[in-house]
Amino acid sequence: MNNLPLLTENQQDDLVFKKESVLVETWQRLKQNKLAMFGLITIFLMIVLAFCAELITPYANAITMNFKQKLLLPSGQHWFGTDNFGRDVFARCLYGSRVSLAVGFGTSIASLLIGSVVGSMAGFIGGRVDNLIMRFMDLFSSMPAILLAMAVVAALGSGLVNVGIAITIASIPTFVRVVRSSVLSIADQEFIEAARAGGTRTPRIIFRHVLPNAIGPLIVQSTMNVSQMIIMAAVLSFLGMGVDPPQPEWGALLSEAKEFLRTAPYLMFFPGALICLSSFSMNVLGDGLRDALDPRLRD
Amino acid sequence: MHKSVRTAFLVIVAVFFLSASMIPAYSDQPKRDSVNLSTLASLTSVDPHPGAENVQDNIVYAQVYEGLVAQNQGTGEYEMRIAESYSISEDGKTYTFKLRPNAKFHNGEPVNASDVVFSLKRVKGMPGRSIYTSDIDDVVVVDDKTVNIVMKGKNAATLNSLSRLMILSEKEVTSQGESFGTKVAKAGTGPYFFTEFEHGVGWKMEAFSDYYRGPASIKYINWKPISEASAGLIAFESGELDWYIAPVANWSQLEKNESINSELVAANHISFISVNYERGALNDDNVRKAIAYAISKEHMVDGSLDGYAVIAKSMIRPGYNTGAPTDTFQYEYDPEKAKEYLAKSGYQNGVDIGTITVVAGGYFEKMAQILQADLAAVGIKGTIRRMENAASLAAYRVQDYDIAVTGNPLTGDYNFYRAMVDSHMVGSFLVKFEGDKFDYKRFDRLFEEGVQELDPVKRMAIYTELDKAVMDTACYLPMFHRTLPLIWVKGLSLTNYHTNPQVFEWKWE
Amino acid sequence: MYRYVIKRIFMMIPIVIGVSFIIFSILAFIPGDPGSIILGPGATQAEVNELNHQLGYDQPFLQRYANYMYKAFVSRDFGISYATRLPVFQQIMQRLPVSFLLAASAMLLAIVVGVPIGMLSAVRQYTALDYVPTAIALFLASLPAFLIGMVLMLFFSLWLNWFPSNGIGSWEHYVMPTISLGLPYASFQLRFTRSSMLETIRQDYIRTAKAKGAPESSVIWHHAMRNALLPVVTVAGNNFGLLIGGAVATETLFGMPGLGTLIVNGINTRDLPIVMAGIIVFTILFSLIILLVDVMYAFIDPRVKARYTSGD
Repeated sequence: MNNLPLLTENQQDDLVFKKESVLVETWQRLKQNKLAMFGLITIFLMIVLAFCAELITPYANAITMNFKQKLLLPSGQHWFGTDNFGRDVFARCLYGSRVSLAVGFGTSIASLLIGSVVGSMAGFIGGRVDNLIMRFMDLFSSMPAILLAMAVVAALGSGLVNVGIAITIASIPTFVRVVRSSVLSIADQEFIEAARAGGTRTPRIIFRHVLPNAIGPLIVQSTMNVSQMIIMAAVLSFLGMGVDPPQPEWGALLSEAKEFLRTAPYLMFFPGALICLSSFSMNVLGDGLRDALDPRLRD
Repeated sequence: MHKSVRTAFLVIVAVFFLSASMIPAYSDQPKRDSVNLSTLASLTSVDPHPGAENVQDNIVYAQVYEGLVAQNQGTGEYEMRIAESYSISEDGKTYTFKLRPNAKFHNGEPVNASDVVFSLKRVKGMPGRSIYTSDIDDVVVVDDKTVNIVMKGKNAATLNSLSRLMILSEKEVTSQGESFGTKVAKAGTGPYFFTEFEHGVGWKMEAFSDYYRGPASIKYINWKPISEASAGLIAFESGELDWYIAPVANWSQLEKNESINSELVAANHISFISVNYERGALNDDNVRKAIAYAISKEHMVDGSLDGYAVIAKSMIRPGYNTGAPTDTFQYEYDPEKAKEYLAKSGYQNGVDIGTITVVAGGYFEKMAQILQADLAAVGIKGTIRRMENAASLAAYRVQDYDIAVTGNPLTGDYNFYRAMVDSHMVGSFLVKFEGDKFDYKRFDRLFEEGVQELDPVKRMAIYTELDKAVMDTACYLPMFHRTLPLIWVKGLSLTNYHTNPQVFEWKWE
Repeated sequence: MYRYVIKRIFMMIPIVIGVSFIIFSILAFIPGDPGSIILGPGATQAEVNELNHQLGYDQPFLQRYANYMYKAFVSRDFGISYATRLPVFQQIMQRLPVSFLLAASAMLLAIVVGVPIGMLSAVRQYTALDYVPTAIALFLASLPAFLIGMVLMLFFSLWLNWFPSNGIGSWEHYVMPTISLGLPYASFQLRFTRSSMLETIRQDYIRTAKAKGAPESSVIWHHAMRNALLPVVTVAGNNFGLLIGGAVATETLFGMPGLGTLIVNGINTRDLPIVMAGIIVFTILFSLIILLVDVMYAFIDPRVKARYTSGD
């Protein structure tokens, strides 16, 4: 589901901005969008919590088993209850957020970087290179992303890094498309022509002039992508192809909780809610950013 | 305009909810000449023999195929099936089986001695069944209804082996040729025959009207695979299944449920840990013993099966398997002792033993996590490597693992342990006892002596010695024997609570 | 026009070859050889080697790929499943209708729910009729389909006993999978319809029509909707391929014997011929649907049609 075009061609074409003030304006507009600010603050808090996990509870609580305290209901001592090994679910969710957010953001950043380089090469150099790259991307987007990711995990084995690689590969084509179409829309403009005529080398033009101008749609795409990657990782975990135990991860926690759906439904509630909350936050933030970057939609 | 859009929207919503509410409650069919059952894995073939034996498939085959004899799971006694009687020659090597005159295959053909010869010779060449066939020297037709099975020596496990080898119709199998197994076939003699078979979707059976024990009371069996145990339980509770092996996590609830029948049944099964002595630090006897003492079987039972399992003292469960010794050596949980052994090996500051290989999902994976935690508590580090079932089998085959967490159904006789230990067995897996490290020839010899010893007391004495010797290697570490929560609907009467059900014995009240 | 269609069909050939090469290469990294997988743990190494030789597994990689493609596309022989020994092609054809039906009904649900609500949100921007559906849509898009499915299963199978939870066989079996798969896509559809509608409403000719005093409803129906439908068709088309892919977890959860579960099982049991052929079939289907969408585009929008017929 990550290949979904999130911007129409027109919108992408229009998302070109040249001045610092545009950023300020965008921020001003974003601030007025309450839902987007909710998303921004929530995700910010989640990241802070993930970083400061040690200050809240030691990692040992997330992995130490205690069979005398298994499947306890949420209480003052165990905020989210305990699982079938007697591990503290709050600690597991907290440390799990490190893994899940790292997968979500990490793969998005990786796809963003790779996608930017490849996409701007395609758009800027054009001709045969463009054709070759885009046809190659077509191949990847002709396969359902989840199947591609599953095949990669099957080949490399399960585990955090391999899952990351698998879903990064699956999400690169979308970034390439976004960057390429942004690049195409500005490649003919005067300041690029000028830079070219002035003898600036191509990589420099790409990094100094082209990419900064494609940043709008890229930010939106990356934001949305984070939420899709969190979900995709959860689906892989659900199908038993996620991170290796005892490492906590939200999708894996859900998958473990599945068995206790009726005897201990709270086990499913907390990781489910966290996946939903983080993904929702990134989605509303992305939506808000898109509206803020494209004032036409807001009037 | 917005009115029309809103109207359209309201209509759609209304239609949606109306159609949902008009759907009749999913009620039971009028009673009842069929049962609906499910297995966790889809049946891949109607041929009971080629692949590796597995519990799920055996549940299905048990309705369709029979051997000369069958072992009653409840009593452990052997009952006559296709054979009506047998006698043993003076030297104890030749077993003469008289076939039932009225036994027929599903295609209507009578069961003849030639079918028995065909079936047993066919299985002889099949991987994964060598534990049952390796002691059979020859199978000979005496007359149409009499067959001689010649063993290589005296053999205490003959009936056990024969109960695992199904008799198929020579005509049916040879006429289908290569494609036998891929589509419905009438090659069995059991109370039911296949009428439909579609991989991954379901398969159907009908009672065999010419069955020699009389036609079954329940006329049809509809099977479908449900790979997730919790989904299967939901299917049971919503009336889609009539009998189910529930996940243990739900037992405490199911037990109290008055509207269903339930029974916790012991399974003849061993869940164990296997240590590859050829890998790195694991080659050190003290390290393996440290591991053996570091593991708490109680943790295993509590954490992976919610307490509903029986701690295993040995690999082959006594009382359920002929010849299995009761008095044998086991490693008692003792972390301090584990640390002492570790210190003796020179790894007092901890050691990394590599990976713990396990099939992803299910209780094996939980066992692996508990193992990892227990080992970590004494300073032994292991990384969990999860694999899919098929990949794990391939890895075990080539000894590509450090520590493996797995389990195996047992067959009713201690002789089965040979498949795991004896160096001659083709089907041997996990630990290969060969080379100079252990006196494997002694193991082989004791197995040989044990299976040839017909006196139960002497036989058990041999196996007790053997069991201790193998346990001393600390390569196979028994953990627990599972118990399975059986649940079935009210109105369905079961005479025996087998984990391997015999639908023939069931009826609707 | 039909020349364009034929040209597009020919363009699918390199895609299929490319995709199959990528999948073939990825699967080549999977540990384990077909011999061990088929024969199971009891076989001897000699038996395994013999079978591998028979299957051509001992040949070099490119040779194997060439053999596979030749057989697959010249004689429609996609090999034999390791698990069932049945022809792969036959199994895939058996499973395809299930996935197709599920995807089609989920798609329909997505359009029926998503498009009208999306339009309503756009027309009533900045009102509760905009905020509430948009927020709900964003919420649904943030849920993995299997989570919706599990909750539905709990409510409608276990507690209310309305729908069966597993398998296929009647239309009731499709209700919950359709909803759990369709809802997230309905939210995509809703958001997309809303934004493309908004964009169209802002276009000058709509303003002009409004300024001329045409009643609002007729302006929206006649101008805005037709233009807004174009991107909706695109999303529907793109979704369709993705829906089939997204159906994997849903099919697994509800135990539906579709192509998705076939491939998941194939990966789990290392039944590589199934995985390989399954993904190729998906790819072909997906390309066909994209083509269909492009052709529909031409019918909806005369401008696009003009471009095709003029020989582009």
